[in-house]
Formats: sequence, C-alpha cells, structure tokens
Amino acid sequence: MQARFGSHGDYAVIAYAPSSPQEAFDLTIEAFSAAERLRTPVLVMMDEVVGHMRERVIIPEEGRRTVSSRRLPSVAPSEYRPYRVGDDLVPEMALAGGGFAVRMTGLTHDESGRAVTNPTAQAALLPRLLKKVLENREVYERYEVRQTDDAEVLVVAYGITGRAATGAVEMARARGLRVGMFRPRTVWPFPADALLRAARSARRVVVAEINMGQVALEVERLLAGKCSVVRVTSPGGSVIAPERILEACGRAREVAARR
Amino acid sequence: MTPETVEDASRPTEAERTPVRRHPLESVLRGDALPHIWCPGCGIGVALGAFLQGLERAGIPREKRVIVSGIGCSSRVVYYARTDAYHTTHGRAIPFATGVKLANPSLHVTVFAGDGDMFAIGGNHFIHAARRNMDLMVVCINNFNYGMTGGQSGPTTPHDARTTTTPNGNFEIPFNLPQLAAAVGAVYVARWTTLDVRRLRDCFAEAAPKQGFRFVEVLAPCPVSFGKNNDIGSGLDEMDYYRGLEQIWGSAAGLPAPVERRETGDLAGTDISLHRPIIVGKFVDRARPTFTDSYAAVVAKGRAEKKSA
Repeated sequence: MQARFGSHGDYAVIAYAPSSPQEAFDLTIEAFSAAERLRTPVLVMMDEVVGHMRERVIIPEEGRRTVSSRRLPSVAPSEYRPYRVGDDLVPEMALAGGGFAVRMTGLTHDESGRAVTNPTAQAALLPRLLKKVLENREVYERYEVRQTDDAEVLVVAYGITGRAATGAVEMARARGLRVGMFRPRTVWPFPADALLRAARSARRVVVAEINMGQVALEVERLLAGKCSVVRVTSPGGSVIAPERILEACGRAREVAARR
Repeated sequence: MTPETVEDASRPTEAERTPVRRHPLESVLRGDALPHIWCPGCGIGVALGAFLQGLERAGIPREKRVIVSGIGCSSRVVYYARTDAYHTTHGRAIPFATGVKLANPSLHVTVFAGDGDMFAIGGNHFIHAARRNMDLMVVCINNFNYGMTGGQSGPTTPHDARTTTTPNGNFEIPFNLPQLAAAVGAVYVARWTTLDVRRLRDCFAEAAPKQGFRFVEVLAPCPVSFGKNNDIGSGLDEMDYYRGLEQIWGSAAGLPAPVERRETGDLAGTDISLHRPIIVGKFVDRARPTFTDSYAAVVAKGRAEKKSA
C-alpha cells in the first residue's frame, strides 16, 4: 500500500515482495531490469522477517545474470529530446557525459525537459507515466500458484506470510481439505488476472498478511463478490503461524458449506 | 531589378531592425529556458553566471559537466545551464550526484541547492558526503530562508531575523555552513556573496579542478522575502548591506589564513548575524584521499588478490 499510495498524486511503480533471501536476490536483479526498461522507480519490499533472514543463496556466475538496459538515444545529440515518446511509451534515455546535454526533472515537463507546470502539460504527462507501467504489467507480474486446480479455498499471502501459507496448504491437503495458494511476488501492479485464474474453483478466499488488512482490499475488489474473503490479520510483532491460516481455511469452508 | 526591389533592399529587414544582443554565456546557457523564474534582485542568477564562467576558466570540458540539484529556487539552475542537468527530489541532490560520480568517475559533478534543501531536508547527505570526501563540488546558495514557499525560517536563518514563520524574530541558532563543512571533512571551503562576482568566479575556477568534497557557500539576496522582512530593502540594498559588512578571511583584518590541515579547522567567529560583520573568503584548502580513489584502490587490491589466489 505504501508503494501504491505513498503520495497524494498518481503514479504507477513496480513493487516486489520476496519471501526468501534467494528471492530477494533474484527480484533485486529483476528490479534493476524493470527500472532500466521502464524508466521508473522499482521497489523491493522485504518484510522484517525476510529482511533479517539467513538462508543459502545461490548466486549465478557473472555473465549468467541478465539485466536489461535502458534504450539509449538513436538520434544525434542535437535531435535528442529526453522525454520524446516514440513507438514505445518509454522515451530513450541518454547517459550522463555522452554529449547529449540532457535535462531531466521530477517536475511536470515537456519533451525537452523544461519545467512546464500547467494542467495541459500534466494531462499529457501523467497518463503516459501510468500507461507505460500498466500496459506492460504482465511482463513484470511474478507470482506463485500452488494446488489451485481443485481448490475450494484459496489462500492469498505474500512475503514471509507466503511461507506460512505454504505450510498451511500442506497441512490442509494432508487432512484431505482442498486448499490452494496464490502468492504474489509482484504486489503492484497486482497480478489481477492470475489471481482470478487461481481463484476459479474457490468458494472462499483467505487473505493472510501482517497488517490489519491492506492487500485484502485489492483481493476483495478483484473478486468483486464472486466469493467471500476471510482476512487473517496481525498487528505485527510476529509471523502469522500456519495453524492460524489453516484454521481460517476450515472456518471459510464451514461458512461455504452452510450456504 | 525593379525600382521597388531596390527600394526594399535599401531598408533594414525585420531581422535587422531587431537588435541582437548576444549573451556572453550563450554557449553554456539554454536559450529555450529563458526567461528564468527568479525574482528581481535575486542573487541566484549571479551565482550561476559566476559558476559557468569559473568552469569555462578552469577548462572543465563541457561534455563532462553534470549539474544535479534538489528542490527550491536555487535548484532551478539546472534548467538554464547547457550541460547534463538533473533536477531531483527535495534534499536528495547529493545522493543522486554520488551515484552519477560513481557510475562514471570521469564526469565533473556539481551539486547546486539552497540552504533549506541542502541543510534541512538533505542535511544528513551533506555531512556524510563530506565525511567520505566524495568527489563533488557542492554549491549552496544561502538566502537565509525558504524563498520559493513564502519566506519561512530555515536552518541558516540568523538569530533574531524575521521571517514569515518567525515574525517576532528567530529564536533558533543557525548553522554556520563553512564551519560545518570544515568539521565534517570538506577539503575546500569558501564563502562569498553575490557582490563578489569576480572572486566567486575565481573561487569556482579554483575549486572545480580539485578532487574531493568542495563546498562553496554563496550568500544571495532574497529581496521579496528575507530582505523585505528584515528591512534590508531591495536586492541592490542587500548588496550594499554586504558591502558594508564584508571582511575577507586572511586579509588585513588580521584574520587567520586558510586552514591547511583538518586539526586546525576552527572557523569560530565566522557565524553570520544580522548587521554584524560577514566573514567571507577561502577557509579550507587541503587534500585527503577521495572516495573515488579509495574505492578504486580497494577494487584493484581485491582483483589482484583474486588473480594470485
């Protein structure tokens, strides 16, 4: 939510939520690629547990990691405009020191980088900044889906809670309960279509997160009453135990059965 | 030729009738960005002019120049200089510039910002960049208040000075910027006012080719806010105010010479108070290992060890 609504204005950035040190490593590399490719800030948001966790991390050999780079200017410096939009919504971006005399700014600007603070310039600029991320969202959507084909109950969790949810799914399956999991690794833009696919057979969805219910709002909005949503929340201070999620799955199932 | 044509040719054309006055800094300014946003009597343009002349004089290659700024009146210089220029978020010009320098150490990176942006919002960045001796030339335009937002008090507002948020006089004690910069490790520290145009230009020319963290404070009039609230008057009146109060450090006034070594970096007595002498000049000029050099040395050592292993 901080990544999405941290300002009174509108913006679209990419935010990743890793569940392990390995994923933190991998997603950080992806974050650089996404930032370079889209010319936008990208957040790698670790919760306290993942941030403090020690686990084995496999670091690929140099040369086997691929990081995308920005598109460099295809025109001469005299022709270059730092914010000119071509066939792509992301303008070409010159490096400092390349003789392009770039002028870049965080203020509302025209294609040459002049500060133009009027509603017309804002109307031209802001929709593009949103579109360049939202139209490419599927390229950057990462998620894990677990045993959703026949799931009556779908657990949605991210970050460290995703691992508790994995445990809850295993325990539920051992008891013959048809529970699956959807774990967004990209939390913004939220992988909406992937969630709806994962929830296809679900009658109840359990959203577990270490706050009083934030991503639950997004899940509720996307499901739009298709099935009810049970929240497993926590004011913080410790990890949500798999048992709590399992219990919520049971409750959700009972509620579903009564209908 | 018809007579009409002859007659036409004898008259000045429309273009000829328009007087063309070339700005002496035209080649390093962006004409498309002018006129600038600064108020009549503001000192920022003077500082920018001195900076551009200083860099020309120092022979810093134009394509290597990068200017990074934050938010505020002073940070607007990036729009007018024809160079790689980045207008970043409030207080974050120094970290951004650090990234630029580390990504490409061959660049000549200057940070331009006002007293509020650099010492309130971004104060921590300043002290750590100086401590690390980051290779940056850092210019603070100090006009003693937040000019763009309506003249509120800031970290350099002199004691007792009136601003829109201290209508009864400022009861806080301000930073003494050169003293702060010297204490946290800057290798070059100077203060001039926009009255000292040539000295300021020479100061930039001297500081520009040096390595490490160089700090230049430029005292500049803000007649519409600070000057008005403190009965100083117009921009010209504030220049006159400087003329009456300026004393050059190390001059006949009997003040000490520039500090060569950090141990003696005591700039007590250079505080700025209303209607009290303003001590200007070069305070510190010393050398110590820069971040870029130290970092390159560590990388080289690591590579050598890896090779021999």
